[in-house]
Amino acid sequence: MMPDLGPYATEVLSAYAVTLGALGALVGVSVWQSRRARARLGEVEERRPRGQGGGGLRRGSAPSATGGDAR
Amino acid sequence: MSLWTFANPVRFMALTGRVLPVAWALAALGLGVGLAWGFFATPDDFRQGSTVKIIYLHVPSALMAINGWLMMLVASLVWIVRRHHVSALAAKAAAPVGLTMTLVALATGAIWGQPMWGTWWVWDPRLTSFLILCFFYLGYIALWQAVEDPETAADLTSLLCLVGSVFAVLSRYAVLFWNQGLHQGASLSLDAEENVADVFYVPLLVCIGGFVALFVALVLLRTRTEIRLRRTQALVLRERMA
Repeated sequence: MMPDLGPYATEVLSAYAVTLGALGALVGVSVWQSRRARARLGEVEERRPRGQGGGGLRRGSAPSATGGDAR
Repeated sequence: MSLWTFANPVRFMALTGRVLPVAWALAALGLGVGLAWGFFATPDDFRQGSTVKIIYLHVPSALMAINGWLMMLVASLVWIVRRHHVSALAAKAAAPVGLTMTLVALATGAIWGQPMWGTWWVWDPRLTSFLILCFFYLGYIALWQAVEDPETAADLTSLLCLVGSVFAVLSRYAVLFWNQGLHQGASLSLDAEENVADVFYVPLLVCIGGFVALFVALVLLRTRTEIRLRRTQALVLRERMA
């Protein structure tokens, strides 16, 4: 049940709308970018000749270059 | 196992793949319970009326805006000292999240301030330092976009982050440094006498927990995205050189 917000209903409701809208948009954009990056990496990895390992970010401490990927 | 193990992108991806669902679940739980509790089940304040319900949005977002920058500072220092790419990418990933938190804090503060102070904005020390922090977030994001070479971008943005940290700290302690302006003192303090009443305090803590979990979930998700993008760039470059 909606609480009685008195004379400040507009302020309180608009604060919640702004916050939830901004956070919702940020979550939505972040998930969309994540899916797009994952799909793009998948495409590039697909057309790579088999047996070629190693990634752009691997450092000396990385496990085998042919090991796990960043997907 | 050393902390530096997770500077390896493969291990970072493996660990965060397991942590991420937990962070999302905690964020949904914390925000769902905290905001519903604060909005529906807490009384009005005797002076501020129902506007006190804005505290569940304003305080956690302001807290995460400042702490987001401090997280970026730590990640930037790790990049400068240890040259771990994941830390530079984590700092880059956190910036839009911190910027959103800053904008939410500024917007909810203005909406709250209008009926209580009679003005949307005043050049108060805390408000002004927060606005400058917002500009630093924008500048940081713009600098990452403007520099093509990722290592140079990481170097320059790390330096910018060091400079901006002054304003992040200033935003937190402005009400203590300058005893002037309209903004009240800290709502939360280790000194229990300064805290808000328990009826508001407990749901506020739950909301803060939700905001922290949301920040962690978003930064991890965005860092994973940055790692994938970097790997894609490296593979495409390798293809072209072959």
